[in-house]
Amino acid sequence: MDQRGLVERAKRGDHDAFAVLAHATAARLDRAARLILRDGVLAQDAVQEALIRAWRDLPGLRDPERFDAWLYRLTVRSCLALARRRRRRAVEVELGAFDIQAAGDVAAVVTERDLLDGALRRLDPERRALVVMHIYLGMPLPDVAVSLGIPLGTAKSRLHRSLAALRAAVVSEPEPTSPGAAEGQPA
Amino acid sequence: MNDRFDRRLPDLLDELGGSGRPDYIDDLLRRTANMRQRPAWAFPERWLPMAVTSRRSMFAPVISWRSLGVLALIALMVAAAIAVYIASRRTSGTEVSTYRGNAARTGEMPGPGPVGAPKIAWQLQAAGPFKSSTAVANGVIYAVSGEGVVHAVVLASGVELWKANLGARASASPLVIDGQVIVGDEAGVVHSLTIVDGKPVWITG
Repeated sequence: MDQRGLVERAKRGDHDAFAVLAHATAARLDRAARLILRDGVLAQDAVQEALIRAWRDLPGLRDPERFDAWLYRLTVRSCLALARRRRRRAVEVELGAFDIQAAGDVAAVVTERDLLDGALRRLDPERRALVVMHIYLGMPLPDVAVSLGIPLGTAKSRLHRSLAALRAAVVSEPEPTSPGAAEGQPA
Repeated sequence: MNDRFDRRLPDLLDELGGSGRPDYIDDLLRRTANMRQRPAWAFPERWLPMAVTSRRSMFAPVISWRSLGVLALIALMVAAAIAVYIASRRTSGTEVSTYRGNAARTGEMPGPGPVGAPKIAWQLQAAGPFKSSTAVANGVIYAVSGEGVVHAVVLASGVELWKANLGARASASPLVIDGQVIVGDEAGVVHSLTIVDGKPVWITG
C-alpha cells in the first residue's frame, strides 16, 4: 500500500498502518533530531514526543500528501522545545559508529565530518533546525520559513550565514560573497 | 570547492546524524497502541484555511505556569493599587466629615459642585425626618434621622451598610473622625460609633 493509503488508514485509527509509517520515517527523524540537538538522548526524546503527537493528532491532518512535512514539523518543534527547556544541560559528545561508505582517504573524511560537527555545534538550535529542514530534509525554504514563524527574507539570510559558517569551517578557501550562491537548494 | 561542499552537505549531514535504525520505535509503538487518538472534530484549525494554521510560529514563547502565576500576581497587585488610587481620588473629593465642612464651620466644601440639572440617583426611607446635615467619609454617608437612628449608606450606590439606634431623638449633625462617628442626641448624650458597623465605642454620661 502507498503512503497516502497508510496515512488514510492511520487517520481512521489503524495503528498497524501508523506503525508502518513510523518505521519508515523513524531513522530519518532520528538523524534530523540528532543534528538539531547534537545530543542522542534528547533526540530520542524529541522523536518519541513527535511520534506520540503524530499518532494522537493524525485525525486532524487534512492533507495526507503532507504527512512527511507535517511529521518533520512536529519533530523540529519537539527538538526546539527540548532545546529551550534544557539549554543549560551539558551536551554529551556522542561517539557513535560512523558509516563510511565512500572509499578513499578515511582520515580526510573523518576530519571533514569533525569540522562540520564543530561548526554545527556553534550554531544555535534554531539555525541548526533551519539548515536541517532545508538541506537535510529537503523542505522548500518558504515552507521552512512558515514552519519556523519567520519571514522568508530572514530565513534566507539566516541560512546564508549558517551555510557560510559551515563552509568556512570545512573548506579552507575564502568564502564567496554572492548572496545568490548561498540559497542552498536541497539536493 | 564550495560547490562540492554544497553538493556533499546533505550526505555529510546524513553521516553526522548517525547510522542504523533507532531501537526505541517498537517500545514507542507499544505505548501509542494504547493511546486514543484525538477525534477529528476536536481540531478547530480544521475549520480554518491551511494558510492561517500553517502560519503558527514554532518560536512562540513557552511560558511556564510559574511565570504565569507570578505575572497574574503582579497584575493583581497593580490592579488593586489602581483601584485603591481611583477610590481614594473619588472619595477624597467628597470628604465632608462634619457640619459645614470643618470645625470652623466655614462652609468650604471640596467640590466640584453639581454640573447641569442634578438627578436623583437613589433614595433612602428613614423612620423619621432628617433635621441635620450629613457627613461623608471614605465614600460612605452618615446621616442621623430625627428619631435618633444613624444610617451609614454607600455614596455611590445608596446601599445601607448599617444603622444604629441611639435610643433618643437627635437633631445634631454627625462628626466623622478617627474611624468613629460622633453624634449627640437630644437627651444630652454623645455617642461614638465605629464607622465599620455602627457598634458603640463609648458614650458620655
